Amino acid sequence: MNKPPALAMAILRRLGPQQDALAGDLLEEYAAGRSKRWFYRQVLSAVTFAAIRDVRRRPLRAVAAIAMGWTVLLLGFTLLGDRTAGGLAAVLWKWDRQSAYETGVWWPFHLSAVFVSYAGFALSAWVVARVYRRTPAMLLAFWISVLITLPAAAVVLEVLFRRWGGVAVPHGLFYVVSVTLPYQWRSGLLLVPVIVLLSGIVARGRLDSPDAPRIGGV
Amino acid sequence: MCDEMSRRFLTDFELMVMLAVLRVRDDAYGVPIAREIETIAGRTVTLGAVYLVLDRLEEGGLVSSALGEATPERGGRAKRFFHVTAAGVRSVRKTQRAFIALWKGIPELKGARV
Repeated sequence: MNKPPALAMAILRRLGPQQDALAGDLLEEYAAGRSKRWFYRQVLSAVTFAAIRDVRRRPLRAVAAIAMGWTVLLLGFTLLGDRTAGGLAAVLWKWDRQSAYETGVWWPFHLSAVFVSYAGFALSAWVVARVYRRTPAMLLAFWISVLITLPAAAVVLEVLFRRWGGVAVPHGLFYVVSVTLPYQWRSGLLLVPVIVLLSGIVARGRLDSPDAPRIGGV
Repeated sequence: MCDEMSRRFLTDFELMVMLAVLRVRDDAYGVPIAREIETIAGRTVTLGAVYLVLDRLEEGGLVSSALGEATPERGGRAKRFFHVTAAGVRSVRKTQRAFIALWKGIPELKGARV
């Protein structure tokens, strides 16, 4: 039997509808000669349709998932972000804040802050995926909210910075904003969604469908 | 959900899926249903979309499903066979009547080859 693309199968298992029959149909068609492209298209379509169905069935849960993801993110950044980034910079580059004010050397802190930002996004996605384990759509809803919020925040901040030459950003938002600021935002916009999805996929784990027994399955 | 589904008309894709299930009969699982729609109606479909509609129709009591045996060529996964219920047949007829009634009396469509 032709082995289907491993990544597509992983996406289907972890984010797709928990239907063995659908997975079996896809494998049957792939074994009959369908292309990898066809397989990926089918898997992404199955994931999307399952997400739409879940959100339609449980709209409040989707809102709660988004709220929970952002709460974990902002609380984490507010309570731990500054300390963690400073501590990381101190350990890695022997950086300290006091001398940074005198020397103007801030790059170790900024670099650590970027790492903390990404870690924060990974953690929040992990929490969403663990809490709403049975419905992958909730992770996708959180991911979409990240996708919408970050570019929107970047655009708003660009406008504010250009018009007034600076704007007071609440400290907890610094780490969210830091990935959207001009010197990092291009990488952030690409990396944050990837990190959110990967972290969620790992957290969710593989859920076996109660559908049917398997014999020698892929 | 059940009542709501039997009261309303089927959407075009729901109707296509129901007709495909009726046409394929005993072998009505995902792959033949999708193939029937693609071959006969000429509409490209994904299996995810077909299952989404079938799940909705089953929740509405218009189709029922049963699992077949697991086979190695499907990675050990069973086929899920669908069957249109009596309520489903009534729903298809109701939608068909509505379409035919709308079709009648349109001069532009008279005599056109289907």
